[in-house]
Amino acid sequence: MDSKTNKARSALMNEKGNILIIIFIIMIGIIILLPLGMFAFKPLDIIVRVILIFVIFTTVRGYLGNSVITLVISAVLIYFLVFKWWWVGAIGWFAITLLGLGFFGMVVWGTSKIVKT
Amino acid sequence: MFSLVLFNLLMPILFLDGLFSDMTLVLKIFTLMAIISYITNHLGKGPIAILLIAVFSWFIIFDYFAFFGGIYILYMLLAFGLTGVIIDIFFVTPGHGQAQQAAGIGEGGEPISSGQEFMEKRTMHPRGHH
Repeated sequence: MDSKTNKARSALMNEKGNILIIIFIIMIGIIILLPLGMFAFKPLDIIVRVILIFVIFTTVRGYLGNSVITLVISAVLIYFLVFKWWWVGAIGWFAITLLGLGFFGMVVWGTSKIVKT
Repeated sequence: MFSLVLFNLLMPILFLDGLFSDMTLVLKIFTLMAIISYITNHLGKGPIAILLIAVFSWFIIFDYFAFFGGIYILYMLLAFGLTGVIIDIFFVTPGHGQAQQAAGIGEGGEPISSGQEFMEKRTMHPRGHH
């Protein structure tokens, strides 16, 4: 491998060329933990679904205020994101929460410290 | 045996059947709510606001959703702090061990935690002068 290719690789990756991939795998693994936990433990499933219902209703009320249309749109979104595609809703909510808390910054920093160059 | 393998291969596809269309509908609902919220916050709930909501919704949700849907997803990701993660990835990760190497000190050793330690390490590994 010539020096130009090495420089191009080292701009984004470590010498093993895998640190970005490891970071993304860790991020996806953390996000997927919630639906897996919901699948394995029924109490967690119920708790997360209730939280999702609250989050969706609060979000819609924040957009539209207290009205009948809020209830209708909330019902549609709850049907899709809590009952039909519950794992999509759980993954989305968990990812948004972790993003908002800045958790992924810690994952990136921690991975760059742990993975040997 | 073949049918079993085929069934196992097809199951994920069958399981995901309708996911894209349903998520498109959900995204359209969120976009519509964002439009309504934005216009009513600025103009109230008068006839002009309703007219603008109708026009905006027509263009954004029905006419050019392939364009505006992507923009809305990008906007939401940025609003939720994706830029922080990108900055971490492209600034923290490539700097791994390069600061010490640039100063001519150590190679992937312990991080420097104080100015005194920096000076000690610098005297131990002086940079060559030509």
